[in-house]
Amino acid sequence: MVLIDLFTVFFRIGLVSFGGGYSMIPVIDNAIAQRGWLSAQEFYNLIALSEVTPGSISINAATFVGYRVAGFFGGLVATLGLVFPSLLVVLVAAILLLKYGNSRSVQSAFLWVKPAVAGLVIVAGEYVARTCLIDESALHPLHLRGLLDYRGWVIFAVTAYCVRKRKVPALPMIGVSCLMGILLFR
Amino acid sequence: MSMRRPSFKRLVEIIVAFTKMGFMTFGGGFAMIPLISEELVEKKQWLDQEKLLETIAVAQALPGSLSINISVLVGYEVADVAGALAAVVGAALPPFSTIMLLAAFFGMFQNNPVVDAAFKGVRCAVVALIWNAGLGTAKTTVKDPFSMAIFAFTIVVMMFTSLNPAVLIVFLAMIGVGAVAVRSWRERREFSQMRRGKEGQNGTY
Repeated sequence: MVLIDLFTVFFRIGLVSFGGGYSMIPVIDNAIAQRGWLSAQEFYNLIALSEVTPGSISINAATFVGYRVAGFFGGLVATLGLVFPSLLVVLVAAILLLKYGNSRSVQSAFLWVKPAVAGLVIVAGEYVARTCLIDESALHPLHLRGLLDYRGWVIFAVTAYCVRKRKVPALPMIGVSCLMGILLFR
Repeated sequence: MSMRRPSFKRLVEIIVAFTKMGFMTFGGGFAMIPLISEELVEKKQWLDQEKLLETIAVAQALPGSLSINISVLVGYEVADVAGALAAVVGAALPPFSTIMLLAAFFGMFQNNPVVDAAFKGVRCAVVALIWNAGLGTAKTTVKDPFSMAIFAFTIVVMMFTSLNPAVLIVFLAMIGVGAVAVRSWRERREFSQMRRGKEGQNGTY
């Protein structure tokens, strides 16, 4: 039964893929290719689609593959399969943390991990920057023009100014940047 | 903070908050962090900046989608198991419904120059939002040479290698636990040496 297969495949992906988002893509690609659920071209389109749609990349992938294989319920079952292991594992972790969170060992672990998380957030920004502010080919010293593409940096600077100096919330900035993108990039 | 029996109203509030954030999250799980620190830390005050950092650390170290893991942890913190479920439903709804709609009409959005330009614009703004949140988290946690070193180490490693962030988190957490184990072993040894020394002085040994 294809619905059960979808559920177990995405359950396994949810259970074994560490690191979230982009690190899940090869795992999903592998599972899909094995079963012939999507062609390579379709998978590539899916990744592109995931980048322009809101929310988690892996949920996008599960929903899309499930829908392609078995319609609405396919999409539903695949998404549930992906979310279910997270829910179980993370809930257990949350309950354990509530119990042992104040122990000396856990506190010390957090002491080491928290500055790293702040670093990860900065690096995550850099990953997104590579898709809009920095042209990969521009990193070559002879192609500096891409790096100096003013359009992306204008949107970046306006947003940075508004959120840092004017305390504008994120939602209006997403709307504004949408319009600026259409005006500048088209 | 976690309540035994969250009210129905609180659960609806959680679903709405996570759905709203989900529709605004472009560019992977980390794009959710500026939204959480705006909506849930500053406005609703369901958790503080320190707790948010711990949440991201745990979410990153465990398997699965980062945004779903963060939702489970925050939902649980706010309103127990029911809160975790509500948060996950809220967070999964936007990508699920968007993809369902697009899949039904797939091709409509592809290679549309207006849509492409709009989303490129959003991504430029998202970089600013993420870095703003990154500076906020750095301010709460990077305070001394020790934390500064870990912060810089992480940025360098993640930018120049393809190391899985989960591996880095688990590795650092293990050092932290190990440091406590070494410290308490040393304390115990010093304590027993001290006692032995005293016993020697008293001539009872």
